[in-house]
Amino acid sequence: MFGILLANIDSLDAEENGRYREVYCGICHSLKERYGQVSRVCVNYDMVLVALLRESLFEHGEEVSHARCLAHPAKQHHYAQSPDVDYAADMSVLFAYHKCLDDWNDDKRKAAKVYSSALGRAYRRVKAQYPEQCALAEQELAAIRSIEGKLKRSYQDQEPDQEHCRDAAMAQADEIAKRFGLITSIVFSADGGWWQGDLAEFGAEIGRFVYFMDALLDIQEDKESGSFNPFNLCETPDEDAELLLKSIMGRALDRFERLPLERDLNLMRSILYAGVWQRLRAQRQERDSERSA
Amino acid sequence: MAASPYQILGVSENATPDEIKKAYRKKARENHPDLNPNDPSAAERMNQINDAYDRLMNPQKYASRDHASSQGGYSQGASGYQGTAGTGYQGSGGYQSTGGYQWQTGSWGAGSSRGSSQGSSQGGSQQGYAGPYGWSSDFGFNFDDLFGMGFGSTTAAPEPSASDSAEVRQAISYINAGRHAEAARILNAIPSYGRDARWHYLAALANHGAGNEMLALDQIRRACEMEPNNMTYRQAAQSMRQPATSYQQQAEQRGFSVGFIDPFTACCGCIALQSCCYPVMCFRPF
Repeated sequence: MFGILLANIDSLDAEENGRYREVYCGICHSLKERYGQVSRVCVNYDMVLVALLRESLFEHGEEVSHARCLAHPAKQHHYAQSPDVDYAADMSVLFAYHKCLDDWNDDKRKAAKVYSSALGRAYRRVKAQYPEQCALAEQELAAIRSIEGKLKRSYQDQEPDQEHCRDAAMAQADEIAKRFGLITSIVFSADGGWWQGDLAEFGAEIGRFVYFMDALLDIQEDKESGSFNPFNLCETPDEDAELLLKSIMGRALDRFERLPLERDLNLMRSILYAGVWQRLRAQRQERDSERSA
Repeated sequence: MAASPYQILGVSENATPDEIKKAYRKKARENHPDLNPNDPSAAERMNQINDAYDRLMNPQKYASRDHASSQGGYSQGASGYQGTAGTGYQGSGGYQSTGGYQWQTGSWGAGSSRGSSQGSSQGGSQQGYAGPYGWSSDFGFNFDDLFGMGFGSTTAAPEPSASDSAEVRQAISYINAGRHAEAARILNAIPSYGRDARWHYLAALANHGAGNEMLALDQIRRACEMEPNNMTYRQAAQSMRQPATSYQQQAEQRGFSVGFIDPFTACCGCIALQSCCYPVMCFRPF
């Protein structure tokens, strides 16, 4: 649902590509088996990173099976099964459910309401299994919504002093980013045993990155809707925004590269070093070509 | 007679990080308690292996134990970065809801402040390796630990100057004590006419330590703009940008192309000249 933690396909060989899909399909399969067909809307590539990282670190052991399915009716495809794939599926439900709620709250999109009802049952089961994650996510997302709501109103109402406005916007953005980071931190690190701390720190930075990257990607959309976007309010130059994102990702990778990972290492690196920039790059190219046209 | 971390992992003292990781993997696969269910000492061996790995891959954590007070960037208290002897890595389960960040941690974070010897699967005093799904039910997050400077900080500690007001001096001592959020609060109370380059520099340090990355990077940029010849501010800027620089370098070394602005192809690409070659400066001279 973020559409940010994606692998850079060009930097993968055929085997890695296959592996990437195998885990993605594994998440989809896990959702279907455990929560029913409707839950498959939750499947996304972002959560593949959660599965890959945890499996690589813990090495619980995985099985690979094959099957046909609605998305791949023509031939059998491989899908991975493991406790970490199941966990990634559960976390997909968590994020998708809350995103639907957000969409419903923000835009009153009927589709979002339908999805959130449909996912409600799956979410309740995930919540029963992971009460801390869900409680934390609910709490932090509510806090974030409240901050953004207040900011949206205050910037609409007043003609704020420029400098103060910028600093306040940045401070609030940092707070929102940290709160989101707290959610991802717990998602990555739950039941982490010895590695819980490293995973939590890594997850926290990933969450912050996702928040800021998402904001950067949504600049235009947020301008039109009036939603809080620190890059809009501060008129941040491209290179400053990128410096921020790289700083955060740099910290994430510092933790990542200290972990004893072997399996799927290049695949994960292709996400963290290259894939996370893909959508932004595409957007910039489009923007630049529009400008020069 | 304790074995050295190198001996425990079975690597030479010249081993590269990649070799250490591979060695860890090999040892973990052999000694994993789940694979040795009838062997009660497997958990203890796994702990030793984990500890040895941590000492080799995170040496600064153990150095920091000795130099904690002189490292301005480290957060205080029994954080993940100050190990106590024998228990090795503190990060897992070492969270405390000290409330140092003054946020509403709510019911999930209501765990009381815990000493660093607690936590699920750490060290000798614990119930041993709890397995990969070893339950660690403490989610008392300490924001300073998660988002604070942590290891890798090379930002020099700020020193008070003769012309500093009392509030500024207080802020400086908070920064040096690792109490970044409080320092930021004091600095924020200083009105706009008092916000000179030095204010921006100190606010940047405080916010950086508190994990307010967007604000900190902006503030240090402004400090450098206001006083372009101030080497202290430039060094602080470089230090704060270090993760971004390293990230870029690492990506290139591994053959990935990251972001858009590629300072090292624009500059000379030579790490030795980093002192005169700040990443973002290439595109916006101060």
